[in-house]
Amino acid sequence: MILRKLSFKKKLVIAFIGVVSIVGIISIYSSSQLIRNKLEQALHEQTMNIIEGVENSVEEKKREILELTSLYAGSKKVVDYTSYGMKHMVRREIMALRKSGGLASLEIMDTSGKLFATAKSAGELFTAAEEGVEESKVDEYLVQRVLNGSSEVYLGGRGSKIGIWAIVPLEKFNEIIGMMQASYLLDLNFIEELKRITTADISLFTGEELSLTTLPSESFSLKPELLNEVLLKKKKLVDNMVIANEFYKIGLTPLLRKDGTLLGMIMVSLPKRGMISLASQARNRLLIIGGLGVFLALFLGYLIAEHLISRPISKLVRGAAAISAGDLDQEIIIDTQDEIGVLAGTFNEMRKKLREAHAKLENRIELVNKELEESNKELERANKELEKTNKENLELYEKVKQFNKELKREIALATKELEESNRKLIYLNEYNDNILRCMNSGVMVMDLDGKITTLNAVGERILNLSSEELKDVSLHDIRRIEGLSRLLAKTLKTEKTYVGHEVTIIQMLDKNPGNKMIPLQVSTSVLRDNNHRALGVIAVFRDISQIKQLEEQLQRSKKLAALGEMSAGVAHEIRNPLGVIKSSAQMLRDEFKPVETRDEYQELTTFIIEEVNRLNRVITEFLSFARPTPPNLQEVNVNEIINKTIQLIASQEKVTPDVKIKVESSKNLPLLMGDPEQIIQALLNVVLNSLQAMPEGGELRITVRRADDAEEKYHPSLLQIQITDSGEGIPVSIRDKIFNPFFTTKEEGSGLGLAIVHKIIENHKGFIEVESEVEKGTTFKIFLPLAA
Amino acid sequence: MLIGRIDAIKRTTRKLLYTLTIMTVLLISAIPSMAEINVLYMAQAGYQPDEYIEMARSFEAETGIKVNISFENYDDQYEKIVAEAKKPISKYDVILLDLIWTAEFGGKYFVLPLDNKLTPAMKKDIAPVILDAFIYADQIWAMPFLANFHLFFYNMDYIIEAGFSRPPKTLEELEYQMRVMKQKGIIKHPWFDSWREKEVLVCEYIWLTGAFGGNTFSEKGEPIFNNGPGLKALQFMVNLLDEGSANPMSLEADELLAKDVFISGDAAFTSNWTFLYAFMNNPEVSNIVGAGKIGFLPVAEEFYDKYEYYSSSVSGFQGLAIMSNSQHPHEAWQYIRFITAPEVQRTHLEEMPVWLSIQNDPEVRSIDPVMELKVKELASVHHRPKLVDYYEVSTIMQKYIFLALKKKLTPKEALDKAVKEIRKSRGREQ
Repeated sequence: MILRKLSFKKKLVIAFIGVVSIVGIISIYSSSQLIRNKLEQALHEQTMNIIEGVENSVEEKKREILELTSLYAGSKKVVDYTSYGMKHMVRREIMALRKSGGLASLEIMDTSGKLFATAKSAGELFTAAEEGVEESKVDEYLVQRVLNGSSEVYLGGRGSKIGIWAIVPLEKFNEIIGMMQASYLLDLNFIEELKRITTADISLFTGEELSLTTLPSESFSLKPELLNEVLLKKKKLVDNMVIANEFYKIGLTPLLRKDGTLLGMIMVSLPKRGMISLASQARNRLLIIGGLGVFLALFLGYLIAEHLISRPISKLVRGAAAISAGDLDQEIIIDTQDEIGVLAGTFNEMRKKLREAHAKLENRIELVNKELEESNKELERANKELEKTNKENLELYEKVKQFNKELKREIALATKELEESNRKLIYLNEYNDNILRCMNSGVMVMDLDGKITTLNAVGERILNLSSEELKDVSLHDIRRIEGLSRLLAKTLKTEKTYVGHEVTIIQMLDKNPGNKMIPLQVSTSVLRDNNHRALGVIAVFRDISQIKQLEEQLQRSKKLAALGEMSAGVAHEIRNPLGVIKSSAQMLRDEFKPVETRDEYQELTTFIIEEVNRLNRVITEFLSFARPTPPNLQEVNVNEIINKTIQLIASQEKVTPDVKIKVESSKNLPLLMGDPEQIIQALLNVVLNSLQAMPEGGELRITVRRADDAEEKYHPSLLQIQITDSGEGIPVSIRDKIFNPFFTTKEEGSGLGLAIVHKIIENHKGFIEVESEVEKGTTFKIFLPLAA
Repeated sequence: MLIGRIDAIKRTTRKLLYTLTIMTVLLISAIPSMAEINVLYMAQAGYQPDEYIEMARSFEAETGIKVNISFENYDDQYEKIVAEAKKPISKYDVILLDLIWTAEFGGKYFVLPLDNKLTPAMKKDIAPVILDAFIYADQIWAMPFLANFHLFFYNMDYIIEAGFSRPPKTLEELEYQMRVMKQKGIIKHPWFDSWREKEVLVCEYIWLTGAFGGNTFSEKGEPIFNNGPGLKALQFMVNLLDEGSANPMSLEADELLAKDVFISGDAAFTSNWTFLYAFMNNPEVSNIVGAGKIGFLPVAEEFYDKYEYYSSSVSGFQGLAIMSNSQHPHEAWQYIRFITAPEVQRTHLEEMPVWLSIQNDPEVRSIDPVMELKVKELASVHHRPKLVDYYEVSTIMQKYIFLALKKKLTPKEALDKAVKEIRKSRGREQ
């Protein structure tokens, strides 16, 4: 009865709800059962996979321990220490290796298996002895295999411990000199690492006793039938178990010794709470999804009833009502081809016949158009006003354009002036640079910050510094030219001008003999701008080493001249009484001979005469120095002079066979202006002096060339004779005294040899220089004028 | 108009710059100036880096001068110093100078002479044999810092086990005791030494040449080691290797490895620098505390009476020098003076003090029971030759001595070739 009263739409909806609810409940129940079974199966497979993973990890660990042991056995230190019998050093080495490798023990055995050195972790004595063999011996079978070059790795156990052993040969030059055995404990760290990798709890059993576990509880026992399967049949299996009131899926796998006997087993445990929770979650979700599905089905049913049935009928009802109210514009649109669609078509036909009445509405449309025309006229007026404003703006733009033109002209003028100034400045700079480059002295300019702004090429050469090096450096930071920098600072401070000031700097040389001290003559002045403001300091300096050297030479010559004049007089006065002593001694020896002490008398008087003769020789030599014979100047071939000198040297007893004499000269040398006898005398004295500096032999090198061929600083009208020895050298402390008369370092020398050389060269209007380095040798450079 | 505007901008900029400059100067002058010096030190036998850093920190606390220390190994130290010496300004102010560089560095003005800095009292109080090592061309080029020299180290347990009651006094006794130890199986190779192809090999060779009564170079700096004592010394080394008395691993060992081997108990005898004594008696690192002893290095029986203390050693002194192109020579000397002071050395008796007043101080002798022995061995040292070309000479000697030890050449062939090459390098022989 109630159903009959309901609308057509409601009847349809109720029928739809009934069908959808029954189908939904059946689907949810069967799906949740299916999911539960699948999860159980997946957990089983996961447990089996984890067991395989654990077995692989144990195998991987065995390989790792074997590789580590082989690596350690290849250590050069371990091999060398073992081969040289250094058991303390090898022990120290393997202790470090054991620690770094995380091993329980590391041992070295000799080729008979006897223990040589051992390293164990504290409290975990895990050695060969504990594996069931003798303390000092390893299993004979293993020894033989290792001696044959084989490496072994295996599982083993003792008490409640299970571990991995690896044993490898120790080889040196392809010969086996011993063995290395390592052990690794399957400890809590190991099973925790397994747990980390597999996400399952791991338990290690030694035999059937639990030894280590990551489970929260150790109080559980395995079913006897499970133990039977694993321990006796050595199978791996999966089962369910309750541990500490929780459901677990467990997997068991046996651990076997090398010979296949059982050592223990590993159990993996996966808690099932996750799976149970997942199943209930799945069921709940299915319920929710099913409910939502029913709701959606109802909603869709409603929409279908509304759109396909109820709404077209309503449209027909509304259309009929509108026509009856006089509204002929409303068309009834129904797309369906069913009965409702045909009915709607009939209604629309009726509406068309009534449309003529619409003509009345067209008059109204014309009225609206007129109003639009009025609005357009208003718009044109507004446009005209806008054009007027635009014209005014254009005039303003022209004015701005003119102003810009003037501005550009002014900039062009200013730029031209600047370019002219720049050209002048560049010319001025080049002019200054040329002046600086052409100067023979060093020129340096230091600014108020102590930075070098200018240093010409001569300056760079004297100071051995490049402008590049000085770019970011304060002059005061370069200690070796401290003398120069102090003078510059003083000039800046006092604002005075210093002329001809002498300072000393260290000149650094790239080649031997390294650095040297050189004197500089410096003039400084404050550099100012047009407004008399100080800009910095300018210094002009030159290397006066050569001037100093010449001054020293001049000083020496003066000293020698004075000493010679004075000593010549004294020598003359000594010589007269010596003549009397000598003739008296000769008379005594020849005419007043005693009878009894005749031999002794003869000896003493001869001694007096010999000593007087020696004194006479010295005085003669000295007089030839003090009052030298003026040189008989003539054109001389220098090569002939050198040859004669060499011949005279060869006849001297002082020349030892260990001295090699080398002469380097050119045949085309120009003639020399000099006294050949005196020049030979001078060369002979220098060469003899050099030979005496080489008592154990060495090399004497005589080089002859034009002076300017040797060094540019010398004048081309001079000839240079250079005598170089490889002797002991002349210490700096006595270098300026060697040309002084009577200065000698030899016990038997008169000290006149080099003084005479100096005198002869000086009388020839030449000069002599000496360079020497202790323990390396000495070079004398003699300069003589060429014939015109 | 434009130029006028530019001028106005320039004037404003200039005013701003002046103001900024004045402010900067005021700010800088308000900060206390703190000097800083750079030190180049060798990390090897002798004072270890930790000890050296501790000394530097004490100096910083006392003076406020900051010390930056660069540690180099021995082989690189020389190259670094030479490279810095050729620059306008050296990176380092203070360097550790091995005595073998005195002639070269002083002769080339790489370092500053210190004659005016050492007072007469200081010069008098420094052991003459040590100060002499740093004098070249009558000038002092470094302040003595480390009085290193070789001592004889022996394991008394092994000597007693072999049936002897005292350590060997002569090289012949040494050879005999080592033979007995080998025969009794006490130790496979009783002698371990630092014989790798480095400077230390020359040091070992120098004291052994001394032990055979001679020197390697004449007073004039000529090589004479290819005959007589020098030849005997190398022959002795080769014999020890041939007999198995010397451990072949010595050819790869420096002083630090030789120290480790001896204190581990794997050697009965060795010669090494003074620093080994402290390690030998430290139970944390040594297995031979109580058994390890020091004594005089033995000499050949023939020359036993030649030396006052019947021994021959070699010096390895090191000093502190100031680079001639240092920016802070004053602070550098302050630092050197501080860390070489007697008061500092008194607190570091693990190394031999350079000061006579410390060596002879009764209190020091009571603290260090072997001080007297060390003073006598110090008096027995031979210096390596003072040669400007020592670096080249030493390299040649290392090469040929090592070739003889490796059996590539006989001792005579090796030393003849070494002498010839040294002469050639000096341009004396083609």
